[in-house]
Amino acid sequence: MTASTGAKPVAELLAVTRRRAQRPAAEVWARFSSDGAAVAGLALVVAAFVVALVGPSIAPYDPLAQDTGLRMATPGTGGYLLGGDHLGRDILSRLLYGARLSLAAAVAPMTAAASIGLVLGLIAGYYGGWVDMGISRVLDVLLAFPSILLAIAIASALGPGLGNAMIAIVIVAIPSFARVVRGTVIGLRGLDYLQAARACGANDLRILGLHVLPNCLAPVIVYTTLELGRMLIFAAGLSFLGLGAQPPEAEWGAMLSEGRNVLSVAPHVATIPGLAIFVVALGANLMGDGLRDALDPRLRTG
Amino acid sequence: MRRLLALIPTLLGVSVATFLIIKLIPGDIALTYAPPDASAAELQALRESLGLTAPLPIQYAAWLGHVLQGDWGYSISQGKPVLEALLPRLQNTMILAFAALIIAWVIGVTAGIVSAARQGSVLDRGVMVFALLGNSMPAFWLGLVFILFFGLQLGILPVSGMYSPRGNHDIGDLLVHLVLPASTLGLVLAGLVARMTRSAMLEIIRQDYIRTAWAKGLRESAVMRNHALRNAILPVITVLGLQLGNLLGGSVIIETVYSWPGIGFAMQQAILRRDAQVVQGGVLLAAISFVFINLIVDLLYAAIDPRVKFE
Repeated sequence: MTASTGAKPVAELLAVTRRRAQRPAAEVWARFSSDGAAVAGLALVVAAFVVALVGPSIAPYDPLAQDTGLRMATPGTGGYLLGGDHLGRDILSRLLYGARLSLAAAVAPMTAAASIGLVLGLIAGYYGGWVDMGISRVLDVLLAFPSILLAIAIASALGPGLGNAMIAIVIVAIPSFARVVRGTVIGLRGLDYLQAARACGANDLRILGLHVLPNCLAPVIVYTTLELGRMLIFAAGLSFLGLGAQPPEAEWGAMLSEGRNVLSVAPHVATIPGLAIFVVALGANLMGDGLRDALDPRLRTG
Repeated sequence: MRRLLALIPTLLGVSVATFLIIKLIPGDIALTYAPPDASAAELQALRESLGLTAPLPIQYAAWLGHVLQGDWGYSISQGKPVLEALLPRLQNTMILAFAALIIAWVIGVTAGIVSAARQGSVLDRGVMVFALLGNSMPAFWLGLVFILFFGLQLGILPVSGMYSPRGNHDIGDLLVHLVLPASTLGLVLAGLVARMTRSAMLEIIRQDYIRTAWAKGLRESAVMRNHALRNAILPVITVLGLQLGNLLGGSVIIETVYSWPGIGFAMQQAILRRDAQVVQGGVLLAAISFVFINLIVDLLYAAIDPRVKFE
């Protein structure tokens, strides 16, 4: 009985925080959609994902089929919109097929790293003390390495291949996600509504899942979008170095790397996949900047 | 001195991580040393003599002992010890990274100041677009475009190596070879520096003491340089320090694009030849350099900001 009288106002308070947390979504979207560059970025990213989904079914040719007549054909020859590569494969088809691998190589590891980083950051930030110390020290060591070098080390130890490169990206990306979350949680820890939830008798799991986690999602989402462009370049870079996708796989970084050998005679073979990476990364960065500005107008840079 | 001691835990952590990564390498090392007809018992004996059966901490201690004595393993592809293969190349990487840093710094800081001083102007927009493009551009792609344009189309700059194959290896030749790789790496970074400088400057120039400086009738250049920049530069240096790691990492890719004979190029060649020892060695070497560079940045910070003091 006493518990219910005490719990009611607290429950109301919690409901209010939840309502207030929901309202800004519309505001954020209003701010975001009024930002032309951000919308253009979103459109580019959505387009890239659509291509990644349907690319293989709209590609005009087999991405691995070699046609000697098409060898290093310039864009536009004989109905081949983007021409052929050094082995006589249709570049447009390879680009469309490659979108899936190229995007997946960045998005899948980022999702995994964000989830693991979220859990680690929640635990470190919420419990503090030696738990935090232990987690933070390990993360600090990982951060002491230049990220691409750490990824190279892990990927080369595991052996070349897209899957191993993705594992390497996950490990490299976890620390920054965990840090973002940890910082947010520490900021929340002393707040009244958490005290209230604890007073209601909620256990740690409930508090973390229901009250702390939702407040960490926004920073994680913003950070993810801000990092998406960099990760695309990062993943393509590993393939470029020979650690990610292996020839003849159609992946943009690997395509660019293969095309380097014929750079002087057929520059389009290497430059077109590079342009694709650039355009999608540009879209992701525009979208990320727009989202950050929309969520926190004080941070507006442009 | 105390700062140097403080590095020890970080360096130990880095070494543990490197050691664990080496342990990730699949396959039985004993098999590579053993004669093809070795029996299972012989293999087991070999594993024991190589220390592979010892608990991990003991293996680590043994490995660390070797590393500290300069034994970093043996490069199969180059036929010499790893450290001997990598150390001479560290200098080349440093030359490239340092040149890129200067380019990024000069272009980025200048663009940032100009952009902040004329906030909202066409010039400002231009700088922001440049920063965005720099941030979105894969360095390896920009490198290829530069090679195509300046090297193959115009034919004015060399696109590969550090020196011309013929001719004397003098500083002029080196500088000419340095232009494209350093610009590629520097430009990609300059966007970020410009952005940082701009936002730091915007924060500073709204403060009262800047208004006082204006009110005193100082010229714009004096206000910007002597008053605003001195304070705005601090966060930029911090970020730049963090970026040095990316610079070292980015040089792996740029060195590959331009066949620049640094650590990165060596690592990439080693990747292609499945020579994992060289790759691990390169990472360890770069990580150690990175830790020391961060120390230098910290000290630089104290030199510029009198408020920061290290006891």
